[in-house]
Amino acid sequence: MSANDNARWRLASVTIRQFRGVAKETTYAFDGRPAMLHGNNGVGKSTVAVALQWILFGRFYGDVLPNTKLDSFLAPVQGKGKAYSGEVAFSRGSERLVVSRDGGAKSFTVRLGKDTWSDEKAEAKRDEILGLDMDTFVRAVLLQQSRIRGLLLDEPKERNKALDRLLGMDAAEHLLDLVRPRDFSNAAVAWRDVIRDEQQQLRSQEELLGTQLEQCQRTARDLRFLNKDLNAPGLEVRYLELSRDLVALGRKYKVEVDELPPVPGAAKVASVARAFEQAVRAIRLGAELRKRLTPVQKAIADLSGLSERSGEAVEARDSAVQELEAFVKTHGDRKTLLGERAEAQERLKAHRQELKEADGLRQLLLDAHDFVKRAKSRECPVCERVLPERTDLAARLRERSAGSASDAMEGVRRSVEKAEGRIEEIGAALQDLTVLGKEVEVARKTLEKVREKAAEVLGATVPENKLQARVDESLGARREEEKKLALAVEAMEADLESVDGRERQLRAVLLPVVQKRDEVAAHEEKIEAAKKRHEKSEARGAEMDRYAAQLEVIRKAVIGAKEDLANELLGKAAPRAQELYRRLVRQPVFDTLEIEANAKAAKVDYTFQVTAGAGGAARDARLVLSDGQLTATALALFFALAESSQHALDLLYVDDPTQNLDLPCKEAMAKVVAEIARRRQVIVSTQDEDFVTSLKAEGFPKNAIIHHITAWDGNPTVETSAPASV
Amino acid sequence: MSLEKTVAAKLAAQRGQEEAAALWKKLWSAYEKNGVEGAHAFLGDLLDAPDDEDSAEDA
Repeated sequence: MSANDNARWRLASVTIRQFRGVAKETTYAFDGRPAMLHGNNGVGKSTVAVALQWILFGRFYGDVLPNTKLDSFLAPVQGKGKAYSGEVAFSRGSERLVVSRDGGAKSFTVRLGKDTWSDEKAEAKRDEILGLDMDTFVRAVLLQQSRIRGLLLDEPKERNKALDRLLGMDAAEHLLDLVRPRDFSNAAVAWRDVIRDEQQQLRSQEELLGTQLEQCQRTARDLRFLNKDLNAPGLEVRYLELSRDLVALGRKYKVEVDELPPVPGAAKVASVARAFEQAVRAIRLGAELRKRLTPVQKAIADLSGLSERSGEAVEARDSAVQELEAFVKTHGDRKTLLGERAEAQERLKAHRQELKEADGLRQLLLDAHDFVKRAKSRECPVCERVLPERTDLAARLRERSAGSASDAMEGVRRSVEKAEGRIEEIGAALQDLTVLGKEVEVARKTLEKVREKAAEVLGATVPENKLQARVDESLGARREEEKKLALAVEAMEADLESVDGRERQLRAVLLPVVQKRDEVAAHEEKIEAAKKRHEKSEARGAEMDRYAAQLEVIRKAVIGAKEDLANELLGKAAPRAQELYRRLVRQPVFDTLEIEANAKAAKVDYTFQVTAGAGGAARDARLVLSDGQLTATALALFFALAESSQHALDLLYVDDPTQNLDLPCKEAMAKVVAEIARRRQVIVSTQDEDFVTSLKAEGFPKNAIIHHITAWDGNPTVETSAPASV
Repeated sequence: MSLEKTVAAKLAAQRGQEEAAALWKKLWSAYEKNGVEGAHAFLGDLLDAPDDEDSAEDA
């Protein structure tokens, strides 16, 4: 171990638990010696490099994998746990520095000898002891292929980013992306826009309210309101006057009404208007005039009805009597008719007896005829006397029965029919007489009712012959009375209409003035409130302007610092980078490498050129060099930067350095790495067995620890060979 | 020299930029502690722009 080994820290071991390619726990011992980790792809070699950075610094620049959360990335590939943790041990002579990080417990500790620090103090102590921060670590200690991959891309922005990563300028670039003064100046403008918009709105509103108030006042003045009325006290006085007049009207019309409540402001007007309306209605409905008018109008209605009905009733009664009398005159009265009917019925009875007797004689003659015809008797069958010989008795009997008997019967029959007809006529007359009698009775009763009603309305019984005149006379008197009362009611309505009109005018004309004045006053308060708010907004705007200015200054300082740091690093590394470029790239024409940082207005760009000899024409390296040559150039720059960095860590960790390299380049790379490994601790992680062979051939230190990862099943299977330290 | 110190030195060299220097210190601290997210959150806290509510309130 050289004196230098005692001056700087070397990596002693890395212990990895439940992290990426380690499901359980694996410790890689390095003992401060050069080392190689080799094995096929996917056996967990890069897990060691990632764990080293995570345990030391707990973070990565940007996303470790695009669109992947850090938790998911760090969790074991096989297994469910997320309690990843690890420990990195460094040695310097007899000193031992142990750095531990526990993702589950979210703890970070640094232990040096007997001293232990935690969390923020541990972070500070780590930087102090190792003499580097993460920028320097990724620039000068840990080289991962992914950091230089962007150099192979055509997009200048990506190449700049790759150089940023190589130079450890990620932080500067991230901050330049984040620090956007324009966001703050835009915010300041937005605050002022808010103020301006509101002020404009308030002014417009103020003008509108002023115009509306002027219009309201003009209308009020046109209606003879005075200036002293055009405010809240004026409105109150006007309502007070109205209240007094209303109470006076109540007294005039004998209705008790209360005074109106006071009107201290526009807000009270609605309820006072309702009280006013109720008072007016009370006067209108409760006035004595109206109480008097109502019975008069009822009497007029009754009398009008009587006047009409009394004439009709008398006329109906007289007409019925006349009809009855005419009927009696024609047909006789009931008694006469009943006598006539009795006589007729007697006559009918006698005629029917005659008819019966005649019918008996005829039957006798017929019987005699039948007898004579059958017995051929010579005697009269009636009187039993002997008849003359020549007499034809049968013929004579037939003649008699058919002749004289039939004639007599016919006469009797006619008398019977006549008597029956007369009886029927008398019956009909008696019925008509009954109907006429009832009609007379109904007409008389109707007239009687009219007279009773008249007695009720007039207050006294009135003879029938004076009924119409008395009703009409009373009707006239009542109508006169109604006319007088109606005029008085009309006068009362005019009085009420007058106060009602005044109240309506107060509401329609004076109230809007007071309301508009209130609105103007409220608007003035709003303006005052807005002024205070605007002061705050203005202050916020000013604060945003201040931040914008400060961030602009910071941004320029970051750009300047980045340029300075990059050029300082490049300047220090340039000679060694130039040497390594020639050895590793072996470009036959463009043998000179020129890399320079140039500050622009908003960023730092890099000139990444090659020339044919010093002072030759410069060409963009991307246009001249192959992918392999570009990779070798990046590695040359990395080694140069690593060697030129000043810190307390004597370690170079190179993860997979041979991607894209051809065999001669790999051999040259092995020679360079073996050279460096002889001066400081170099750990090479590779899947390239040819490169391992080349490293050994080129004199990679014989005391190097070799970790051969032969298989992976969630955990790596590691075969370690650790020769005794030389 | 680290980026933090280089920027701080540049700011300190300018007159009247004490506030910017103090702001840089806070910004770097946030970045160092929580990376891009930390710095973004810090700047987000500083940025105070009127939102819809402010506009509505003003209206």
